[in-house]
Amino acid sequence: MTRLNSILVATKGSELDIGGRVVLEARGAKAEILSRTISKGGSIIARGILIGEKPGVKAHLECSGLMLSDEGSIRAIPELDGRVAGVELSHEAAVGKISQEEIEYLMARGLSEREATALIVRGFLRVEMVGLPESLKREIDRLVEESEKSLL
Amino acid sequence: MLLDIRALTVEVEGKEVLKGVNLQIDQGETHVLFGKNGSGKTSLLMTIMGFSGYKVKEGSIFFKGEDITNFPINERAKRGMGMSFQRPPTIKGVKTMDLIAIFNSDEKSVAEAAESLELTAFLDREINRGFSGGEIKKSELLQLMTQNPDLILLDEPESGVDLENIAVIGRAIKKLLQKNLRRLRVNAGLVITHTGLILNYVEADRGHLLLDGRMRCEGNPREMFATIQKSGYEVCARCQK
Repeated sequence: MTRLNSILVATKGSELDIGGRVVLEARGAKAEILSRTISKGGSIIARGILIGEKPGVKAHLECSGLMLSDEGSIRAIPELDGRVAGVELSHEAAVGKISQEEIEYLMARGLSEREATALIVRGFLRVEMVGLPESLKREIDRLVEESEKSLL
Repeated sequence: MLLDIRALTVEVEGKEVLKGVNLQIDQGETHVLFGKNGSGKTSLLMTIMGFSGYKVKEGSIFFKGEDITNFPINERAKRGMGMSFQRPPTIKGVKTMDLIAIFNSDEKSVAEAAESLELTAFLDREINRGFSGGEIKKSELLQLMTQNPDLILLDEPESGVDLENIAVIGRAIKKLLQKNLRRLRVNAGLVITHTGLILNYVEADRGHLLLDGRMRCEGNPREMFATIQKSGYEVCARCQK
């Protein structure tokens, strides 16, 4: 099982073009590519390519992007490349804004609009990565927290 | 008067969904809202809570004597309103515990409430993701139990819930509405029900029938529900107030 996780935050002036490719070349190989991207003025290209070369391989790709500003851009480019019968490749990609429904749900619990937005952004960037050593996990959490500050 | 709604007319996307609705709920009272699908019941709850998309064209909503008609949702929550949603959204990466944490309750009472609803394992899960119908209702009630609002708005708390869990939910609502207290009871509720099942668990003081955006009847909730079951909403609407 291969997992590629990226968490990308682009503020004004930054240009990120990041992604990963997984070639599934052994029977029963599995992969998951996940990216969470937020643009606040910067531009992001989030790429992901899954190539299935043997029957019975299974892989999924998820790109979610949040646009928090009228400037900047997010381009999600998911690619699936099946080369034999019996591969199972799938993707879901979405670029959008924070949903009003989610904000109001949290406001009904007493959070202000700003606090609700902050909680949603924090959740969005909180990707649970399986199998990382504790020290690396802590470092990632710290970096995500730093990035949050630039957004709110 | 805890909640005082006067001649409330509300539009959703240009269509009138409530037409001159009046409703008064006093401290400690439980009211039940009956009505067909699309009669405006959920719209009334959403308007009381202040959701966008529900435009008040006329009339006003007073809560604890204060005109809150144009208040934002969170200000209403802070003043003591709470709502359980019929279909709450999932929020990526936000756990049930994160919502519970908003209310700053002590850990012990949260743990007890979660236990009483058989939801302990759900605290660490993403809110509403993959929850069954019953789990959603229970998680909504858990949030309300930690929020402890004075006015509790419940939108079909028993729909999609199996019989065993209805008893669990019934007990939780009873507790929320302080049914164990008599003279000291302050919490009030407004409950939408289709099945009437919740009436078996929660004693209600007053029933209201909403049809086509208008309040058409009010009275003893058990009698009203019996009439609706036997002869339908229209017959109930013809009753003498």
